Amino acid sequence: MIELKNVTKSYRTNAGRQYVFRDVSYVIPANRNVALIGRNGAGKSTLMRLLGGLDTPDSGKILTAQSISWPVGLTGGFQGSLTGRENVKFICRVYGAEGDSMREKVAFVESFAEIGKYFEHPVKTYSTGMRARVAFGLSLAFDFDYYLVDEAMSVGDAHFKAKATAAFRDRVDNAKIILVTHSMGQVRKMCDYVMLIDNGKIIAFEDVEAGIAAYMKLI
Amino acid sequence: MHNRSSLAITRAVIFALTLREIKGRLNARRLGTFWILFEPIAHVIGMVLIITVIRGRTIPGFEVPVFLLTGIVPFILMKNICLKLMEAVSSNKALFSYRQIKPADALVARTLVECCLFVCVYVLIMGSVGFFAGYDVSIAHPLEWVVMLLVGVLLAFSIGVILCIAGEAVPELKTFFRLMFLPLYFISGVVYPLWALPDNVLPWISWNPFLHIVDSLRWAVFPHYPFTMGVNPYYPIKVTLVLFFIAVGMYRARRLQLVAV
Repeated sequence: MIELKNVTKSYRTNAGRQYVFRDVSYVIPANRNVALIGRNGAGKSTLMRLLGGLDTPDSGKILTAQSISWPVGLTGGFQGSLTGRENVKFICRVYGAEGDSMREKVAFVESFAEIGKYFEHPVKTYSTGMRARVAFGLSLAFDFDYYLVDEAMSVGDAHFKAKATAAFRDRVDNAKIILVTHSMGQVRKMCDYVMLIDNGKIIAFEDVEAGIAAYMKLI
Repeated sequence: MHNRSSLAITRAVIFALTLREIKGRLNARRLGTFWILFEPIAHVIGMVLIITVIRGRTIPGFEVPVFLLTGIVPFILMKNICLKLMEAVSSNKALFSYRQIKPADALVARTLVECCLFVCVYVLIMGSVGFFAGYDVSIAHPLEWVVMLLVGVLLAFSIGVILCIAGEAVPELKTFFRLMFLPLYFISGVVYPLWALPDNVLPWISWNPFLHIVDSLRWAVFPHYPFTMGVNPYYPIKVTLVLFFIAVGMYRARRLQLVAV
């Protein structure tokens, strides 16, 4: 369960202050795979950033007792001159995985990413797909209660996409996902709860098809 | 996910960032390790050659290379901390997506890295000057020297944090801040003894805390270092305390804006 309490979030732009959410209170129920859908610029990614703790609300609180991942597939945090292995070890240290637990996680990422000897090469020599593979494996190496997925599964080749989807399916029992996407196929496949974001409001649908239908009406 | 205390998280993050920073610097170029040590060494050698060989200056009672080294190397440390901290947030911005990593961790980690480099450079240079050239490089008052150096590091840290926060708010200022360090170098008594200055100049530059730090460091190194009127080690300590509180306060006020992408 994640609770939003009177959350207000705005950004300063040259045209004045733009409010994305104004005094939004909402409870995301526990044990559901959530899809965040809405038009471009509706605030899906902002909400995800707030949930992930990347950004803080202007006022209000976001409360949860569960662990929430960083956005899955995030590649921006990689240091280009370090190897894939060193970057993975960096995140392990940040998340307190030392010794055996670090070795285990590094081995997991190495086998998940399947980039062979490139794992020992600097990240700046990687292609976008290779980066995504390492980043994706890195997210899965840690056990979170919630995984935040922002279009991450749309990168990579078909083999990788299938593998990523399967990896999430395996985890559905003990972990949930919050998915930001425009692909209704993914929503049907992975989620059982839809949050439609429109005009700074959150409209929830227990029924996935009903949510998709409402989204289709918007666009 | 196991629960850790805030202190344990901060410790882990600072350790991780420090390692990453050092590895990143060493791997940035071919022979990275060599260049990192060679850059300050080349600067010092260049300065020493200009002053002793080209200008033929001597400082009565002191060996010129040792005199210069004891000022230049700590000054470079303080300058580097200031300028590296200024960029600490902008160059680590992507990392703040991991919620454990905060700008403060990046600032502390960079300071630690600079201090480690300083120790390596100082030991290497002084060791070779003492061993191969036979100069006396021992430190007469080691405790005072360490305390003064720590004051210098804390002062540089405070200034660095202030520059960083100001530079994040108004990025155009960064160029100006960088330029500021050249005049500062010349008014800090790094490459000349203070007593060689005309009497009426010193009051104009003695507001500069770096001058007091550099001179106090030299006082700690040499057994019979002449006392210059107007220099005292308590002044930089006071300035440091004030600037440190300003820095911490500014950080507190701007911590959310620093994280924002």
